[in-house]
Amino acid sequence: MQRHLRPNTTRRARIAAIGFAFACAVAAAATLAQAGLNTGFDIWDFIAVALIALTTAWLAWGAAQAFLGLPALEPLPASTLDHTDFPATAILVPVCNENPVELYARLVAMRHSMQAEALPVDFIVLSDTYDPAALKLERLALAPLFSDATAPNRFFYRNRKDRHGRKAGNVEDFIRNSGGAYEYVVILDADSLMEGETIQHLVARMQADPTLGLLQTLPQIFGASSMFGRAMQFAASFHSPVFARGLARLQGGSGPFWGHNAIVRVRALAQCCALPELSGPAPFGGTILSHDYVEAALLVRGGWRVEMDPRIGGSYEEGPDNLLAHARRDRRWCQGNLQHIRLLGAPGLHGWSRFVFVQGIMAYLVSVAWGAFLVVSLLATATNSNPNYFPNAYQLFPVFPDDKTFQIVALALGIGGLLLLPKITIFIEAVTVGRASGYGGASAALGSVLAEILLTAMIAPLMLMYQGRAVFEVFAGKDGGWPTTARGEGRLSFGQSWRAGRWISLFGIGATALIYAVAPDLMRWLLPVSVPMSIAPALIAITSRPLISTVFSTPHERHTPPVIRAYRAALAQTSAEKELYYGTTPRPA
Amino acid sequence: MAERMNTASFADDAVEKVDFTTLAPRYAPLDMPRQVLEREQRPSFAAVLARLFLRNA
Repeated sequence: MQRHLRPNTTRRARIAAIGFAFACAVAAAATLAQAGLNTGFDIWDFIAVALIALTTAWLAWGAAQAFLGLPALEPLPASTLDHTDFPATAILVPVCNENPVELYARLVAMRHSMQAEALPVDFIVLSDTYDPAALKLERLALAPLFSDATAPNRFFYRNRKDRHGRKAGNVEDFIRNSGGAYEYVVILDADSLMEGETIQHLVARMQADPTLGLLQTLPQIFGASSMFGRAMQFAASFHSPVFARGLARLQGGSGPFWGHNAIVRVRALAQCCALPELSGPAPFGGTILSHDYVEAALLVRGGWRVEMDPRIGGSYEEGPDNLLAHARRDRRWCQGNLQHIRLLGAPGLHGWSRFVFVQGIMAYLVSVAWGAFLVVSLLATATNSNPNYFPNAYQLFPVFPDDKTFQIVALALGIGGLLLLPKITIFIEAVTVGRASGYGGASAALGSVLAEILLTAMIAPLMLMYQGRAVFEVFAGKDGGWPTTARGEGRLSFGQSWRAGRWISLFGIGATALIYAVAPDLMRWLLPVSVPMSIAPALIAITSRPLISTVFSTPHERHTPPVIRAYRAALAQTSAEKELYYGTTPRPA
Repeated sequence: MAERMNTASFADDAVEKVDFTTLAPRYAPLDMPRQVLEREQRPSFAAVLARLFLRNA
């Protein structure tokens, strides 16, 4: 077993991360409590202390993952595989009302990559497309693949009429009906790309370890063109590998599974992953939306190992190109993660799997906690009584209340440190190991890191509002469903941005006016939140614009990987169908 | 999706040439037991009493 996956190493990493989060929470709570005590500790101070402990613990937990990921993992184990005895493997591509031209180009590119490695894997498009026009176009776009399927890569296609269970149900339907024909399946998303070399490595790793049920790769984002998309793409490329190393050390053999860009042993999937419908109506009942975390927990419950290996390259996906697309996807994830509240007591799950559910739930509840903390801080300040300089009846000299500025500044610096330190240390790591050269050198990488921090800080209050609204909607019983992912949605007009962000803007302006009226001293502290909120529509529109600059450049932009090159080449081939499809929409970059 | 689709009609000869029913993956069924994620509701006191004393009543 690899060193970072040994049980003792995993246990030590978990204790260190939990201990660090706990220590930071206690320090933050004690500092704020001290500030409250200086002016008299009331109920608002008590609530604020509880909220700051919770939110700081969450921030520290994220920072701990980055710190745990700073040391490099040992080199990727060599994988050799005899092609004459290649296990039956299928690449599953579940789709639902996707852009068929881009889907076709991705399949062509991956087939090219498989043929370069002489891998006899099958491609299976599992279509849940229900829109009649979309289905017709999908079949029209994919038809050449079936008439031109060159051995050893065969293409299969089926369209489900009963879309029971959504994506997880789509894969389950395949396993029930055709799983016996394969030993492994590589599950992709409609926007995924994977190199043949990567598939070969994944199969070899599964062959080498019969206890391994699932091996997850860390997909790199590609193809972003907007400011928002390129910032996310840069962060996924520059910061995520370190966070993922930390996560791999924490999770050990218990996950995670992100639903795609992973290989799964069919026997394990069949044995453990037929998900039930939860009792009661959506959003907490019905189909399990965030199925991947549940499937990982069930595989572990069934005695299988679930590993994530961030060292494996050649695995790609596309990301949302603007904040609205990101918020829409986040709404679905929010509902899915909060639904896991129902599963915390599921029988037989490992303790760590339950803790992973708690993390997913907290990822959204913390947004509400931050919002509540701001409101409570405002109320605490507004309800503060005037200082009593002569608390005793017979007193010669006045007693001045202690100034709590020191504690507040210390708290702000501590929280700022937890937010910034992981990114700064990752930058130092990248420079030290030479990784920064792929981003244009140390100074270019620093520029991108700083720009990403600035952009993230600007959009964080907007995400707080979107996530807060999503949490309230879910608890109010509103089912967000599973809308089709708007890939390549691209640039948003000011009109679109105004319609989507005006409620945040009005809330921000209203809150600023209220703060000015009841607690003007807090104005300057809340500016980093109130200003981005007030200009939300402008931020949404501006960050969706194309950004052609060396800022946020990634190694993949400088040296395009073969499968992405092949994808773009396939996409560039013109045909009457594509012209029709793109008649009213811009071509992707 | 509908917004992104050009609704202009087009020749679908290419689609008609392909019999999509023959493209389905080979039938090789696997048993996939439905997983249990929710504990059964704990029976009420009255239900337990009924089970003990009234089963054959």
